[in-house]
Amino acid sequence: MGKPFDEFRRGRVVKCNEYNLCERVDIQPETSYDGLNDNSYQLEEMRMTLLYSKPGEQMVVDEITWSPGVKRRLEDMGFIKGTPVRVIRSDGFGAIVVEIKGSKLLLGRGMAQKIKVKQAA
Amino acid sequence: MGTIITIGLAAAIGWWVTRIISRQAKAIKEGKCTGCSKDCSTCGVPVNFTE
Amino acid sequence: MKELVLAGNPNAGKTTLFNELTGARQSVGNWPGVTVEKKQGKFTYQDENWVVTDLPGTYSLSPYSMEEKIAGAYIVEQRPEVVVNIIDASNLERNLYLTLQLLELQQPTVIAMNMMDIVDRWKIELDIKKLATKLGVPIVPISASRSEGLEELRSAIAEVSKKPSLGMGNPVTFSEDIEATIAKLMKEYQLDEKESRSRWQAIRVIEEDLDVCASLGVEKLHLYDHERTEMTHLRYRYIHDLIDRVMKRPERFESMTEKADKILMHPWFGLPIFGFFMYMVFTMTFTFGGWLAGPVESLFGWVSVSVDAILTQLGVAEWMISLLTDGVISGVGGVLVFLPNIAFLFLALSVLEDSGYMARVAFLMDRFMRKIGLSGKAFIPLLMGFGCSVPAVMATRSLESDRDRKAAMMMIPFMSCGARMPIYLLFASVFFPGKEALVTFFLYFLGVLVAVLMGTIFKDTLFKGSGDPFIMEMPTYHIPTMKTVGRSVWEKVEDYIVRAGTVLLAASVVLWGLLNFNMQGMTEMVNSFGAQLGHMIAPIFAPMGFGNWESSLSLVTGIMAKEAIVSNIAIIFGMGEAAGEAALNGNMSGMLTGIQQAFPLAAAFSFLIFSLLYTPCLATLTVIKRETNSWKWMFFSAGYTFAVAWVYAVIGYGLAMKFSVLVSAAVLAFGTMGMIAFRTRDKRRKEEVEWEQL
Repeated sequence: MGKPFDEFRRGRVVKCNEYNLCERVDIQPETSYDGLNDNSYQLEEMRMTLLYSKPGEQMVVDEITWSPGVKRRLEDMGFIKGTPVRVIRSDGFGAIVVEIKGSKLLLGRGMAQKIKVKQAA
Repeated sequence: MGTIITIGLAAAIGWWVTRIISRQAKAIKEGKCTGCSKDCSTCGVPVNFTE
Repeated sequence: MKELVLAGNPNAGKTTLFNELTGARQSVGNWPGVTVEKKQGKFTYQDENWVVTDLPGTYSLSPYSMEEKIAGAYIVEQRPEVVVNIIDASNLERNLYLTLQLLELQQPTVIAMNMMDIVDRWKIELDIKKLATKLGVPIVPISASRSEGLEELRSAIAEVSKKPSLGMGNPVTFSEDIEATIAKLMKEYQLDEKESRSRWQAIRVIEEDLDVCASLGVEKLHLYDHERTEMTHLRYRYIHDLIDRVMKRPERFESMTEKADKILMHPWFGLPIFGFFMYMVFTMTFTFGGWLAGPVESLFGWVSVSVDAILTQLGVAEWMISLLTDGVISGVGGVLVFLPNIAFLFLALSVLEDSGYMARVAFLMDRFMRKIGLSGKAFIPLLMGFGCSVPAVMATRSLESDRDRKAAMMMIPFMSCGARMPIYLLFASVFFPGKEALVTFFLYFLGVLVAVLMGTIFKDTLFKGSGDPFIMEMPTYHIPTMKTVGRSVWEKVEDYIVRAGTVLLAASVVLWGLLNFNMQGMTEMVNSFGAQLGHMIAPIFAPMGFGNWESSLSLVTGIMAKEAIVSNIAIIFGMGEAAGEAALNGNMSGMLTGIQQAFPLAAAFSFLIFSLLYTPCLATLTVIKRETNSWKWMFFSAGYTFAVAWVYAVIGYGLAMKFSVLVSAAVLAFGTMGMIAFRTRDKRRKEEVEWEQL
């Protein structure tokens, strides 16, 4: 695994690996950002959320980190581990349109941030 | 003749107005819509805008 | 009397089907104890009377929301003769999820496969027969919006009602483990295997339906989380396999919707395009509406004169004539004159709503809504506020969190509703002739600014906390049919007219009474009850420049219905001397002169500002009370809007007097914008993070 490099940009931190798989971590009062000053940050742990996945790229649902109620609602809408999902467009500020189960859904930033995805095999 | 019509009109208007006022009062008490001509649930609002 | 229920996803066209089946024979209420709408209608077929109950649109029956619980419980408890599951054929994968759960209920079911026109258009091949065999229920292809397939649907419904076994369906069999768990639960809670609802109840326990658990006496929860997720997974897998077998989509191609969205949701152009659409709405309301307003006005003038002439000839008492012409016709007419404008406004809004564009709007506006602590979804009710606050407040139901709903409800009154428009039009034409559109636009704009400002304040005070999970399905674009739009516009127009003929008419009569009488009997207007009342209230408005009794009285009646303000002004000023003479000549401009004389320009300006912002009409207050279930919020919205209006109007007047209306307007607008900017300033710069190279 290559050495990750970090960038500090106007309150946003970008961590990328050699494959240019990047995750930006925004510093927001509401979000807890554990791991930011954690020196033992594990690259292997790094996963991508829908929020930062590239539009057009076929991803697969991995995990949902939200309260049980919302999690179940998402499951009913089709967000189950292993389901293919694809970001179609993003407004640049967090709201995204995804295609899942053959139809399109709008997700707000909060939702997008908490649906973890993996690249399609 | 005019007096008869006057009285007739007065009665009609009086009846209509009283009826409206009492309907409004009833609607407010029940918490219903006072503006629409029907019960406000028919203001045709879908809960989900994609409808 | 047989009953059928309609169940399906929110987007599947359930409402359209409901309307098609029941026509005008509907009644609406609420499901007991909750604010979820319950719609029922009737129709007759082959000599059978049917009641149709429209269940809330849901994506599943899993018990996470009120709607889903209601839907499931209703079917199981009421045991309707037929369950009609309406499905969007162009969206099969998601829609079938609910279907599978409905089959688990083991009630006679018929599937109405809707949106077949889209299926044809997208050249999708769908083997309906095979699907029907696999699912075990009859499937009828329909296109509700085109009224196709309905007769076949009714026939299928009738058949199934006579022979229920036709519609029992093949529910999904889960994995061995899960089936074992279900069997175990059935035994544990002594559920009779032969009872059709037993299996469903066992499943509900796994899914943690609290109501079912309570009724069975289940004590421990969270035992079956794993099974539950497995079940969802299996259902979707089943659907996936099923679809593979019955549906063939042509190679990925771009639908019209996708093409359109490339532009309409474009990161750069999307927002300006939306702005353009808003501008179009505005123009429609003004120009097209304006064309028709003139003739309507002349019409009323003529009616007034004619009535006067005829009744005088017949010897009817003068006071009665006055009541009818100066009171009723003035009051009601003054408002009906603006009907064309209102009609066009609703036409435009209805097209926007029906086309499916609203979801895109929510997307475009999400980033801005975040700044006031709401999600893009909240923008839609706000936008609806431009039409009428009442349905807008009800529309907040689409927001899931209570906090979001209340915040949106408190902001809606500032989105200038259609009923306030007559005030602007009237005053603008008198005081700012030639600039009516500009003035009105400014007022709408200011209203929005104030709403946003309030939003930023609420975010940190009353409604702290994180917002709504924003998840929304994006529908295919739909060219609004004349039928739906027409119906929707007609409803609003009808409402407006009925309101004019009832509430406003009554108000006009009462007002006329107040203006022509006092303790000693009939009198001149200036000595009337109305004047006295107005005088008492006037001091409140003095700082705004119109501390006269006429305005005060009108504004008070404006709390009843905003149109009443215009109505009353028409009556009050229409009864002045100058007006009286001019009216005899069949034109209302006498009233206009009266208004002009009563308000200095600055005061007219502040009057407009006050009308824009102050307490919403009684109907709105009522519905706020109903939706929040508390008097507290109703009074709060009544009070705080008044306070905000007062402050703005006083400042507006002061500045207009000292400098000019233009300066005042600019200060108010930019001042508000500045406050908004201040409140939404980026706090992030303050944080610094140190980084080390790992």
